[in-house]
Parts: sequence; structure tokens; C-alpha cells
Amino acid sequence: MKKFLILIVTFLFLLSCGAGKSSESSKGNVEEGTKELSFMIWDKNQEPGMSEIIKEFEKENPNIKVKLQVIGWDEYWTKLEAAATGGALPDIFWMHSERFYDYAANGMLMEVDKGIDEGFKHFPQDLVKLYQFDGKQYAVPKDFDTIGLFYNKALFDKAGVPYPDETWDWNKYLEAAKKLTKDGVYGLAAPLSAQEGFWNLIYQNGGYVVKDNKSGYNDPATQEAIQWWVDLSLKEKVSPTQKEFDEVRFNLMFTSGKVAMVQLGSWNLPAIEENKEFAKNVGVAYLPKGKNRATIYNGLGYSGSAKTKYPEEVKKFLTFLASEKANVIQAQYVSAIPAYEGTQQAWIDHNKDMDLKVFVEQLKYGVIYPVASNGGKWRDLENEIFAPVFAGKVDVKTATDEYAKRMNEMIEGK
Amino acid sequence: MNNRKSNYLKNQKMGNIYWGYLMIAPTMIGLFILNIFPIFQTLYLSLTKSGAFGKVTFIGLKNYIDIFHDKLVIQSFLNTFIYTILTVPVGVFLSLTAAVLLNSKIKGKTVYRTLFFLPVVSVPAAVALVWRWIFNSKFGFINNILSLLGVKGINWLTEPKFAMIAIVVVGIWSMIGYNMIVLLAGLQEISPTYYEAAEIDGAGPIRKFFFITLPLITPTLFFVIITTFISSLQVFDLIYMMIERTNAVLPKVQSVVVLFYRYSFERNMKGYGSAIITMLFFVILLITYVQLKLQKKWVHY
Repeated sequence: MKKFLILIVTFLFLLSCGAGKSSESSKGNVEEGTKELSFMIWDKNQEPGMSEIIKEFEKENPNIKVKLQVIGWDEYWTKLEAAATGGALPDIFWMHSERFYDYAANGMLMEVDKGIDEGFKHFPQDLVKLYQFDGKQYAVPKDFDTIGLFYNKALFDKAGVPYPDETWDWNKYLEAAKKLTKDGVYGLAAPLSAQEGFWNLIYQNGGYVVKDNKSGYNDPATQEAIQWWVDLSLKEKVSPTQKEFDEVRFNLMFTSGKVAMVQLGSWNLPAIEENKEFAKNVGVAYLPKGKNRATIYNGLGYSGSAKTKYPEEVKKFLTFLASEKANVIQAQYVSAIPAYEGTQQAWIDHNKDMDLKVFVEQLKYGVIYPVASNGGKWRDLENEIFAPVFAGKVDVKTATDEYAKRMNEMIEGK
Repeated sequence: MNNRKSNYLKNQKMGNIYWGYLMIAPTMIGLFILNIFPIFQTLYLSLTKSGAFGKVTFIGLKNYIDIFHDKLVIQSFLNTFIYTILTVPVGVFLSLTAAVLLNSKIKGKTVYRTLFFLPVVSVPAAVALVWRWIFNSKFGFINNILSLLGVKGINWLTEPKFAMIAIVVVGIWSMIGYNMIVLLAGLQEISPTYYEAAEIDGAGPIRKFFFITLPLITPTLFFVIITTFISSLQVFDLIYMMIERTNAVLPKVQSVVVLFYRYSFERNMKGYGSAIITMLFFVILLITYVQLKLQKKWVHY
């Protein structure tokens, strides 16, 4: 018995050794009295900008260290949710409107002081509201993004087609695409993509994705828009098919000169500018109009964890992130279009070759990113339902009716 | 005197047992926390409907009933079986061939052994990404070779029948190395005296293989077959990395584990996902049981 006791004691001792060691080593690189906040984001392109913001913040607050972690979009939500379930969310993290509802409704997010920036007076109100739940603010608006029409000037010149401009509508879009489709190059890209693809067309055609927690996919205007988009590759053959996009993503098809026009979100800019020679030949125009003008616009937010160990420090950092200074850094590092009013000019000016003001101006026609509860679920179903449509195996009407039904079930939580 | 000695021995023995337990404790605790406890947790989860962030409501066997009405689940079980049936025999055959060849006296066999083992130490996700490029219909290596031979390129990853073949090829390629090493170890256990005796009796290499090598390697072969069966039924990363989620062939090639991942983590239906994976668990259990019974017929110890 005695030996058994000794054994247990030894064992506990061993365990505590291990524990002691690990806590020591994590403290090792941080000075006495400083607090370390963890900060998780999903976009590698924005890492330099975020690091610069952290540097500035640490300069002003020498007692706080912020550790940045980048995890790709697909894994980000899996990881964040597991962390939330286990009560171990990062102290600060990026929030997306699609997932915001679930996090806010389950008390995962720290309430943000409404007094910041005197009630966020320098931010687009739609964006501020996007991150409110039950009248409480749960994220600081970070940026906004719109979808623009990127075009390859060299390919346009070669085909003798005038560049897209504000007068373009769907017909002109298709006409130009037909002229550009030759010599192994396609006029445009019409992939299975919602935010950068058919969602924009749905609103241009007077349809809707979701309204008052009801799916709009069985609305004829919605179906007509999707049909037009699908026809571009399957019937008109001015776009590569989804099969080809499954092998090489549509944005890469554009940067490798295989398609002349592509609808891309403003967040793709750093990836396009990576190749400087290519970027010189790229222009950006308004999305062609249908019955109306519309572009999906969205904005990310910075949220804090409701269970953070350092609420005061998180508040400080969130306040800093909402400051003009932090937003100017975002603009300078071309991370994204900063949400803070008047800080966008630096972002527009950084590249004179492309008409970047288009992205900011399009905000006038912006349709805020459609959201409803269980967004993760019905967005994932989207691929399953639409993949056969883009492969030409199922027609749009059948698929969208089915999708509307199942989407409504998911929104209601069935 | 006698009594004291036996007491001493007894204490000594008990001490040894405690020390033994102490030494295996880290592994046992890890095994319990990371493997055994989650098995029961999954069984429990499979009887629930999961809400956001780990909130669950008990719904009994409903998930299991739903599974049998879910075309995707049935299809993915079918896919997994097809994958396994194609991968295991060819893979084991090639591993055995490689092991036998590399066991003979050939030049530079350590180099070959290393080459064959390389896929095992490579990250599966990276392997899958490289193969994705090899299979690319326009720029891929394979279609380029085919075009040199005058054969029209094949849409490897976007046609249902070819996509499965492509995945099977990568699956076999990445498992040969490990199996070969295990079989090689088995081959080297065989005493050379058998071969010497056979040579004196005038047996050729083919006879030697079928009457000495093959029977004596069966225990190792049995181990290899069982483990490959299990790992093939659990195939995940190849398919997850090689097939885009917007790809229309996905339902025709996704395995049970891929579907489980998509349901559990992407759609946050952890209860339903647990039910699917529990089904797979029982299927594997059954297949392994049958194999253990059948081994008496062909394995010589």
C-alpha cells in the first residue's frame, strides 16, 4: 500500500513537472507583467497589414503583446467552432456576417462598447448593424468589399473590343465575351460561385437570396438570373465549364490569361498584384447591369471572445482597431478597403493602373451580403445542389426549387 | 528464513508490477483520453441532434433511421467499398512483388527501398496536391504522355469513372512503401536453410516462391491485408484534397469518412455524422471478424 502511495505521489510529481514546464516555456518569451492576446485571421494576403497594426498597437501599449495566427478559410471555421465549444476561443478573431448570427446567439462574443468612435459615426451604418444582435454590438467593422469586373486589357486590345464601362448591361457583356472567345481564350468566367458570381446577378435581375428568413431561390427572377449565368458556359460557351474550374480555380484562369473578364471580390487584389507585369494590363469596371445595378457587399468584423482572460486588454485592442490609424494602415498595406470613412483614398491610390475607385463607388448600389441563421449549413449545401446544374445534368428550376425547400428547413433549424 | 525470502520475492514482484504500470501509464492515459473515451462519446453523440457549440438533444435512433433514407450515405458506402476492393488486392500484390524483388540480390537495393518508402513519409495532403497536377486534363503529366502516344486526354478528376481510378492509383501508390517494409521483414525471417534444401532437390525460383516463400509469409501477408483493408475503408485525405467541393463527381467518389467530415464539421451536424461513422465502425468490425475467421484456411503459423 505504501509503495502504491509512493507511486501515486511520484506520478503526480511527474505530471506537475510537465505542467510547470509548459507554463514556464510559454511565459519565457514574454516579459514580466505583459499580457499576451491571441488573434486569429483567415487571409494570408492580409497578414502584413495586420502585423503592422499589431506593431503600432504594441508600441502604444507596451504591456500587451498580440500573437497573430493565420488559418485558411476552410479550416478557420472548423477550428473556431471547436475552440468555441471547448471554451478556448482566441481572444480576438475575424468575424464573417455568414457565421455571426450563430456566434452571437450563443453568447460566444464579447459585447463591444457602443461608445467607440462616438457610436461608430465614421462607419457605414449597414456594416455596423450587420454585427448587431438583440440591440447589442458584437464586432468592430473592419473593412468592406464589393465585387468588380476585372478585365485583361491586352486581350481586349488584341480582339479589338472596347473596354467595359458604366454603360454595360448583360447583353453587351455577352456580346463582348463572344468576340473575345477565340484562340483558346474565353471571354469571361462564369463559375459556380455565389458571392462573386450569381448572387450579384440575382439582385441585378430583381430576385433575392434570402429575405425575412425565407429563401428566394424559388423566385422566378432569381431562377432566371442563375439560368443566364449557367448558360454562359453551357450554351453560349463564352466561359470555361465548371469542370475546368474544378481543375484550375477561376481567379487563376484570369491571372494566367485564359479568360478575359472575371467577376472578383476586391479582396483578390493582392493576389493579382503579385505578378506586377500582368497587373499592368488589368482594369476594373462596374459590374454590368441587368434590370438594376447591384453588387454584393460585405464587411468583416473584429470580435472578442466572451470568455477572454483579459477583457480590458481586448477592449483596448478593439478600440484601436476601430481607430482611423488602424484603418489607414489597412489601406496602405492594401489589406482590404478599410471601413473607416475617408481612409479609402490610400487604398484607391496605391495602384493607378486599375480603376480601383470603382470598388468604393459601387457601394452606392451595394446589396448587403444575404444572411440567415445556420448560414454555414445552407451555404455548404449550395455546392451539392448546384454542382450538377453547372455540369449540365440537372436544370436550374428543379435544383433551385429543391434548394429553396431545404434552405428554408435549415433556416428554421429542422 | 524461508518465509522471509518468499515475502521478499513477493514484494519484489509487486514492485515490478507497479513499475510496469507506471511505465505504461503515459500511453494508457493517452489512449484512454484520446481513443477510448471518444469512442463512447461518438456512440452517445450518434443518438443526439446537435445544436451550435456542443449543445445536444437526445433523439434516440432517429439518426440511424435517417441514414438509410439518405442517398448520399448509401452512395458513399458504395464508393468506399469500390475503392477498397480495387485498392487492396492490387496494392497488396504490388507490395509483395516489390518486397520479393527487393529481397533478392540486386544492385542498389537500398536506394530502391528508400524510393518505395518515400510516399509513406510524405504529407498526404501534399501528395494529393501534386497528384492533382499530374492528373490535370490540360497541363498534367499523364495527359501529356497520352497525347505523345496520340491518345486523346482524359478528364481524370471530373469524370466519375476516371476520378475513382485516379484516386485508387494514388491510394495504391502511397501504401506500397509501408506494406513493402512489413513484408520485407517477414521475408527476412524465413530461414535460408529451406531454400538450400529446395535447391538441392532441384527446385527453380518459381517453385521456391510458391512452395516456400508464399506459405511462410502468410502470417505477415495476413497482417498486411487486414491493416490495408481497414485503412482503405477509412480513406479521407486523398479524396478531400483531390476533388473540389464544386466538382460534380464528388458524390460519386466521396468516401464515408469524407461525408462524415462534411456533415460533422462543415454542416455542424455532429450527431448525424457520428451515426455515419459508427456505422462504418461496425462494418469494419464485421469485415475484420470475417477475415480473422477465414485466416485458419490459408494462414500458416
